[in-house]
Amino acid sequence: MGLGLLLPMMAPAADDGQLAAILAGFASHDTFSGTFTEVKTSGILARSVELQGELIYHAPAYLEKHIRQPYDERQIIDGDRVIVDNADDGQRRELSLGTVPELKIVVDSLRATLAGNLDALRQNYRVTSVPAAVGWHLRLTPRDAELEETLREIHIQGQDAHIREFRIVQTAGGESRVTINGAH
Amino acid sequence: MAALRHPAFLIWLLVFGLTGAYVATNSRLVTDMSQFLPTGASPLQVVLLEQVRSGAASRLLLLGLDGAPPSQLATASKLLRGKLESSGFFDLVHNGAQNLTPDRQATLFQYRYLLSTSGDADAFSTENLRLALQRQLRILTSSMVQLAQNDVQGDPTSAYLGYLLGLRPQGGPQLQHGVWFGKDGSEALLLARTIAPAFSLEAQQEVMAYLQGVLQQDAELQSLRLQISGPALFAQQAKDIIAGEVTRISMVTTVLMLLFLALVLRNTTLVVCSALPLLSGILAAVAGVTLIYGSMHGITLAFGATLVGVAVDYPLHLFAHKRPAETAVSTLHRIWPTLRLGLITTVMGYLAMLFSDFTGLAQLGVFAIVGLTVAVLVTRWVMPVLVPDAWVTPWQLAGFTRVFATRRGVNVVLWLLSAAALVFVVTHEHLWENDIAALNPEQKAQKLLDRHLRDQLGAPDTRHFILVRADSEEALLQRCEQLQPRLDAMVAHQVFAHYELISRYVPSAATQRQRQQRIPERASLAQALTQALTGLPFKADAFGRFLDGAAASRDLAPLTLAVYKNTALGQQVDNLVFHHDDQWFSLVPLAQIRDYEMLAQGLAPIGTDDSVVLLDLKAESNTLMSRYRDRALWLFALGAGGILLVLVLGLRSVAEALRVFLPVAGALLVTTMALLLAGERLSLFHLASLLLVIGVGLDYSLFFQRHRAESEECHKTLKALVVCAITTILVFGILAGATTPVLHAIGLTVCVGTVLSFLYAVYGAPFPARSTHLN
Repeated sequence: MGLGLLLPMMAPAADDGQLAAILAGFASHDTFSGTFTEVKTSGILARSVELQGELIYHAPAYLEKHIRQPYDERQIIDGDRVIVDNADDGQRRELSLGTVPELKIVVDSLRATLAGNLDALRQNYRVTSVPAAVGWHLRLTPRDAELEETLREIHIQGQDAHIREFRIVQTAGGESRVTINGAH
Repeated sequence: MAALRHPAFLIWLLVFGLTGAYVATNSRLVTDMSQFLPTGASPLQVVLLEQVRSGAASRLLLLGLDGAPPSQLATASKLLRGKLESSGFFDLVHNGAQNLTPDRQATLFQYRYLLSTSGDADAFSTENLRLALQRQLRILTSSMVQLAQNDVQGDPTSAYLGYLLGLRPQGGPQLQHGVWFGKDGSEALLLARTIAPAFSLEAQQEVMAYLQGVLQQDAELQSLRLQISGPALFAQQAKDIIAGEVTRISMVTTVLMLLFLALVLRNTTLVVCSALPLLSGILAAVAGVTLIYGSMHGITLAFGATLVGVAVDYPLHLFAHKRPAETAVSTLHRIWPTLRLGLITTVMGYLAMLFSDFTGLAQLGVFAIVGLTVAVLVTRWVMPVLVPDAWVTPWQLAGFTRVFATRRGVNVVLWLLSAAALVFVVTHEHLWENDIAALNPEQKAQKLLDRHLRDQLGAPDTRHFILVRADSEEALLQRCEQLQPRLDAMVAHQVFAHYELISRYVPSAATQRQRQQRIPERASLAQALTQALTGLPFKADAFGRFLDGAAASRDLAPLTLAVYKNTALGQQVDNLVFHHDDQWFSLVPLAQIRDYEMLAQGLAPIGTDDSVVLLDLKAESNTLMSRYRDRALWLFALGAGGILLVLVLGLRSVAEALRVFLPVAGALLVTTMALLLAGERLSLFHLASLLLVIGVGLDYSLFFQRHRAESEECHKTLKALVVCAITTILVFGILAGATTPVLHAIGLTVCVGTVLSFLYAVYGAPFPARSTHLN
C-alpha cells in the first residue's frame, strides 16, 4: 500500500496513445469468466480477510461476482440492477445501482475497462498509466470531490487484454485487492 | 333628444354612474372554487375536505423532465431543483437526491436507538451483537466499496440504516445518477409543492407561467421538455377553458342578439335601449353581491350574466304591447301589474337560494334577485321615457300567431306528457350527478399525463385512506403504532401492497422511552461487546463510538415530528399529519388495494370509537354532495310554495293562480325528463338553471293568462312571447353547445326549458278561463 501512495509521484504523464492501445485489446472481447482471490484490509480489522470465488462478465453491462469462500454470496450487477443473493441466510436484496453512487462509479470503471472504452473511463476518472514490470498498470482517481472522500483510487493491472489485478483503495484506509485467474 | 333630459333618465344616469364607480373601485372577482363545494357537515368532514382541497397533497405538482440522455437529465434535474427552490413559489422541491441536511442526519443518527425498531428486540445482548458483527464483517468483506451511509464503528447493529430503509417509499421511483427517474429511464422526475393553495387560481397561474418559462432561462435546460401535472394545474386549466369558452360564446351571442333585435325592432335607439335594463341589472347585482359578500365569484358573474334570458324580456314586453296611439308610459301602466307579479314570483324562487350552504349558490341568489329587480325598475321608470310615442311595433308575426292559434287539443297532449314526465323523473334511477369532477371540462391528455407521472412516482391510491384521530401528537403516534401490526398482517395477506405510517418517521415518546430503558449502561454493554467480538477479526477498540452513542441515547429527550420540519421528508410528514382545532389527524395512504372487504374487516374492531376510520374520499364527497342537493331540493320546493302563495295573493284567486302555476310546473317536469333522456345527470347547476326556467315560465304564463279574453291583447302577448323566447333560445342554445359541462348544463336546461315554457304558456293552461278564446 505504501508503494501505491508513492506511485503518483513517480508516474510519467500518461500518453493517450499508450492508454488507447491498452484498452483497445478489450474491445474485441465480449465475455469473460474466471476465478478470483480477494484480500481485504480495513482500519477496523485486526487482520486481513481472504475471499475466493468466480467472476463472470458479459458485454456490455453484466457483472457477476460469486463468493464461494468463506461464505456463499452471489452479487449480480446487470445494467442498473443490483442483486445480492446470500445462500447462507437465504436473503436476496435487489436495488438500483443509481441509489449507491459509490458502487456505481466502481462498477463503471470495471465495465469501461472491459469494454475498452477510454472515454467512458475518463468521464469519472483521471486516468494515468503507471510503468509496470510486466504488462500494463492503470491508475484511476475519481474526478468527483464527494466520491474522493470515500474512494481514493483504483489500480488495474494486466497483460494484453487480461485484467490480472483490480485494487480499490479507500480514502479512510483499507483496501481490496482482487487477483484474477481467468480465461476469455 | 328631450327624453335624455327627463328626470327619470337623469336619476338613472346618476345612480348608474355611482354604482359603476362603486363596482369599479370595490368589486373583487375571485375564482376560489371551494365556494361552490360543500363545506362539510361533521367536523371530520370539514377537516377532511379542507385537507383534500388545500392540504399539502393538493399543492403538489408532478414534474417530468425529458429530451436528453439520463446523465444529462440528472444534471438538469439537480439544476432545476435549485432554480425552483430559489424561485419563491415553492416550499418544497424534491428530486430524489439526498434529502436530509448533514445536521438533520446527525440528529437522526444521534437518536438511532430510539427511532429504530431494532431497539424493540434485545439488540444489545451478546448473541445479537455477535450476529450483527458477523453480518457487518460479511458486508465489509463482500462489497466492493464501503458505503458512506454505513457507519460500522458507530452503528454496528445498523439501527440508523434500518430506520432509513423503513422510510424509503416502497414502489417509489428508481434512482439513477442520484435522482428520480421514470421506469424506462428516459424521464427525470421531480415533485414541487407550491406555497399558494391549489384553489387560489390567480396565484397558481403565476406559478404555471414561471414553470413554463423556467427551462428557457438556462442554456443547459433549453433543449429539454418539462411536463407538469397536479391538482392545481387541473383547476387552472379548467378555469382557462371555461373563461375562453365564456368569452367566445358571449361575443357570438351578443352579436347575434343585437342583429336579431335590430331585425325585429328596426330602430337603433330601441335596440340600444333594450339592453339598458339588463346592463343596469347586472351592474346593480355586482354591486349588491360586493356589498354583502365583499367579493364576487367568477362563476356567479358568468351565471348571473345569463339572467339576460329573463331581463331582456322586460323591454320586449313593453315594445310588443304598445298600441299605435298609446304612449309607452300608458302601455307600461297596463302591463305593470303582470310585470310586477312576474318579478315577485321569480324573486320568490331565488329567495330559497339565499339559504344555501354553498356561498356560491347564495351569491347567485342575491345576484339574481338584485339584478332582476333593478332590470324591472329600469323598464318601469326609465324605458318609457326613451321609447318615442310615435313608434309602432313593426313585427307582425301573423304566421306565427296563426300557427299557435289553431292547434287545439295540444293541451291534452301536453298534460299527458307532464304526467309521464312526473312518473319518469320520480322513478328515474340515475337522476343526480354526484361526482363534482364531472362538472369540470374534460382534460383527457392532461389526465393521461397525470396518471403516467403518478405511476412513475409510485404515488399511492388517491381515493382510499385510513384516517387516525387523536387529541395530541403523542396520542396520534401511539395510535398509529398500535395500528401497525394489523397493517403488516394485511400486507402479508395481500389485502394491499404497502402503506405509509407516520410513526415510522418518529415513534411516540412512550416508545422512545421504552427503547431507552432497554439500552444497557456503558460498562455492561462494553462487556457484552467484548464477548461478542471473540474470534472475529475486528480490532478490540474499533467500536468505542458505538458504546458512547448507545450510552448517550439513554438520556436524550424524545424526538418529535418537528425534526422533519422544512426538509424534503417533511413533505411526506405534512402529507400524513395535520391538526385542526385541538384534534390531530393522520392519513395512512394505502397502495394497490386488492380486497376492500378484507380491509374494512381488518380495521373494524378498532373502528368503534371512530379514532381509526377507513375513508373513501370519493364516496365521502358524493355523500356530501347528495346531502346538499337534498337540502337544495327542499329549498326548491319551498320556493315553489312561495311562488304559488304570491300568485294566489296577487291574482286573488286560487284557480287563477293554478292556471298560471301549473303550466310552469308542467314545463319544468318535461324539461327535466328531456334532460334525463338526453343523458344528462342533474347537478346543482341544473337546479339553478331550472330556477331561471321558472322565472322565464312565470313571465310567459302570467302574460299569457292575463288577458285571454281580449283577443287583440292576446295577440300582442303572443308576439312578445315569440320574440322573448327566440332571444332566450338564441343565447342559451349557443351556450348548450359549449364543451364545458357546467356551461353546457346551464345552456341546455334553459334552452329546453324556454321552449317548453313557451308551449305550456300558450297551450298548457289546465282548464279554460272564463270566456277565453284566441281570435
